[in-house]
Amino acid sequence: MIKEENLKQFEQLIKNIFKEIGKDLIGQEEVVEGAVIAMIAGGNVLLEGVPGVGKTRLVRTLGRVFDLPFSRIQFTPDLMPADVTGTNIIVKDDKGNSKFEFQPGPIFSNIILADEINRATPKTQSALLEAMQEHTVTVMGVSRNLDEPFFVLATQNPIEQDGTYPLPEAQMDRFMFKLIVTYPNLEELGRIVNITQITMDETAATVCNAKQLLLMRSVAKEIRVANDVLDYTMRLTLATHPSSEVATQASKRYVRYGASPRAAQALITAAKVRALMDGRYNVSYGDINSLSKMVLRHRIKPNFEAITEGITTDAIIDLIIQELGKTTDSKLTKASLDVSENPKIDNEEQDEKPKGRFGKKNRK
Amino acid sequence: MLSISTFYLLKSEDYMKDYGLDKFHKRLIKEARIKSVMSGAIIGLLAMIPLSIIFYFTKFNGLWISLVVGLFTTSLATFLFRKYTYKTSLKITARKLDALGLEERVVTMLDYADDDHMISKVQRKTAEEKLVKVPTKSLKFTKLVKLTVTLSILLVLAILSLTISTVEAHQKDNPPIIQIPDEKSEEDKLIEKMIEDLRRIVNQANISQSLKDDLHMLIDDLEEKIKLDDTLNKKIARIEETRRLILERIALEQADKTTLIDELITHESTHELGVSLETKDETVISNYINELIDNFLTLSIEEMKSFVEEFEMDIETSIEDSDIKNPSLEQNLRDLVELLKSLIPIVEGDIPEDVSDEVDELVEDIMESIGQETPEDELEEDIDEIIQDVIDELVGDDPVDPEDPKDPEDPKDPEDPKDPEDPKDPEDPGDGSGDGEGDDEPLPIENPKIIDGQTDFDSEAYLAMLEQLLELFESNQITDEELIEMINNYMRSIEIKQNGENND
Repeated sequence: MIKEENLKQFEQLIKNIFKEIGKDLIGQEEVVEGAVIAMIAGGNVLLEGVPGVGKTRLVRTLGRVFDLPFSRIQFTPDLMPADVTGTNIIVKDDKGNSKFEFQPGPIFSNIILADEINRATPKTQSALLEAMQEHTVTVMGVSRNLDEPFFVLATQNPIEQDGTYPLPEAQMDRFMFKLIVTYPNLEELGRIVNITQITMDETAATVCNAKQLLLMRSVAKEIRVANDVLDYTMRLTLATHPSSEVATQASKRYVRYGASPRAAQALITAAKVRALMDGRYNVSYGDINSLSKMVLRHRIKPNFEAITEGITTDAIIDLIIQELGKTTDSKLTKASLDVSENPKIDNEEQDEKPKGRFGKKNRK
Repeated sequence: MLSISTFYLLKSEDYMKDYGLDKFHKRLIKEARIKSVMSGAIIGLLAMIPLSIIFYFTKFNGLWISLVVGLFTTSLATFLFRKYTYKTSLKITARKLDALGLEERVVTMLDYADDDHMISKVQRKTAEEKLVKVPTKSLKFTKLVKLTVTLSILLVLAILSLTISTVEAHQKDNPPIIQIPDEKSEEDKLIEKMIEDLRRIVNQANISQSLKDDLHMLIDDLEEKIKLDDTLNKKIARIEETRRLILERIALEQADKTTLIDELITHESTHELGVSLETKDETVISNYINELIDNFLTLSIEEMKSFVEEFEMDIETSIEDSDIKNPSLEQNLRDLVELLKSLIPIVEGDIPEDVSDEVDELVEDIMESIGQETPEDELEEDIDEIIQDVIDELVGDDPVDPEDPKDPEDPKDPEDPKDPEDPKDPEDPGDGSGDGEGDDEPLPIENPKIIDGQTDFDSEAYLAMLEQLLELFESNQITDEELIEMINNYMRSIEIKQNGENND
């Protein structure tokens, strides 16, 4: 039973978590917030970014702050599924009888860093599917539960595509968020260099344990969602499908496949956490909109026209939100249809929008 | 979860009060009503304008139809707008409040109003705290400017179209009346002539300009009043009354004016001349002039010059001072002065010429000048003519024009030489006019008797009788036959009078 003091505890924990992470990570506020939200919500995160922008450090810091075991799996083409999940090996007991004994793989941890996941073969990538969705691992017909909380943080390099195996849609859908890790700006880079000159050690302290993390998850689940907001979330998810009844002009023009129902679930779950992090006890349209790119960008498959015109999935999502409007008011939706004539989004306009806890640009 | 519709039906009133939403809700209702009425009015006007255009082309006077259709459409559209487009509910109020930056706190609060979970309670509490800080006027009225501008433009267009179509239809129903003088009724022409004659009387009267203006105003007033009278009797009576008033006013002013003869009497040298002229007796005048000449010839040259100078000066002064001018008499008097001047000898002892012929001629001219009709006489004659015309019109007979030589039935035709009874026959030895001059003209009617054939024209009895007649007219107690009979009596009296004078 959730008590009012749990809300205050959540507030305090969140404050401390971000404070400690901020000690080791400079910038990347959106990535950090997305990762924390996903951890609390129980989702997995796909990080896309070039090497050296702090992906591994983020995972390590998260493990330290949450006091959770951390495993790193470097995905390579010759990595086998058993290397991830573990395998049965033949061992002899005290009586000299041989028997199979399960040797757990690196996935048996609370936080998994699947580094360069797109370099492994699809067979190996699929070894993560069950673990990510069911939080179980089945080897030789025996299913084994993973310890909760379980959190997969996979990375992939967007520029070195040779010899890679793009993640299949089924696996992509298992990731709650896809976060884009960008280069730090001039100021952030300066701070990063200064910190690492002093010490390379990670100084973030543990402020939360697994039990507390699960408690935070249960508190966040109780956050209320108004019917209007719920309806808007459904519309937003369905609007990514070009053939749906609420499809927008942008989705009809640029989208080949839309997001799955799992996206709507992820949106609501993550929005609850975000609302609670913001000190609210209800989900707002702003929560949904600000999380929409993280949740939908890897679930939408753009069509040929979008690719040739250079329209990113983020731009498509922005167009869909503009067309739907902030509310589910049908008149607003109709009025916003005219906007789709020029689908490219002005980045400067996006930057002017109100910023969130970490100065993020995506909160409306 | 509680059904939303059921929830709002049962609980909306309570929640509005509990959560302080009622003031926002009332404001939204107010806005919705204003917008509904304005939108309804726009639809109403849009219905009226094409209707007016149709009426314009069909020239049908459909003003009231347009107005009724407009009002009906406005009412219906207002109702429909209020019910469907600008409908209000607690949920809509909550959404509008959330749009102000409350981040869906209000709609969530309402959706979970009956939820007793701790999170819901905390959520409601925070929502109420935020709601208290929101001023009522932060819910702005939207689209009102657009509606107002549209409504104003349509209102102007509707008024214009209605006016044009109504005027067009009215012109069709009531084509402009073109005044064609020839189409005037005989009655109108008669009245018009009587009015013109009244104006001519005023114009020809020797009175001050201010009085003329007054009298013309009186006639203007008469014209307006006549338009309101429905019978010819009343109109004639009114004209007759006005005529009486005009004559009275003229007479009053004339009474205060002096003639040339009056002025001559006031001067020493011309006193006796004035007295003699006042008698209007040719013998007296002739005697005076002859005596004046005889006496003048007894004077010395210097005395003659002195007398002539004084005499001339007095005459000129009298001419100048007289109110009523008589140009011919003035010329005669100047001729007299010249005659006297011609009698002054150049050398003492010269015998003057015989001027008896000139004196006779002068006396004759003076008599002619004195005998001219006064303005009052002219007025009376004019009035007689008018009344005669009226009588002719009313009786329906041909006008009895004494100057019409072609009237075969006129027993009194003055120019009919074959009329044995014509008192003005130039061959009639019994002509009472003396020297026979002026026999070609109709004799002036002196002291004519009016209506009853007995009463003098200018007597008080006439005025009393006239008032009685006016009362009869106004009370409609007199018939046309009675009026004709009375006028016939008047005509007969004139005939008797004229015949009597001619016989004399």
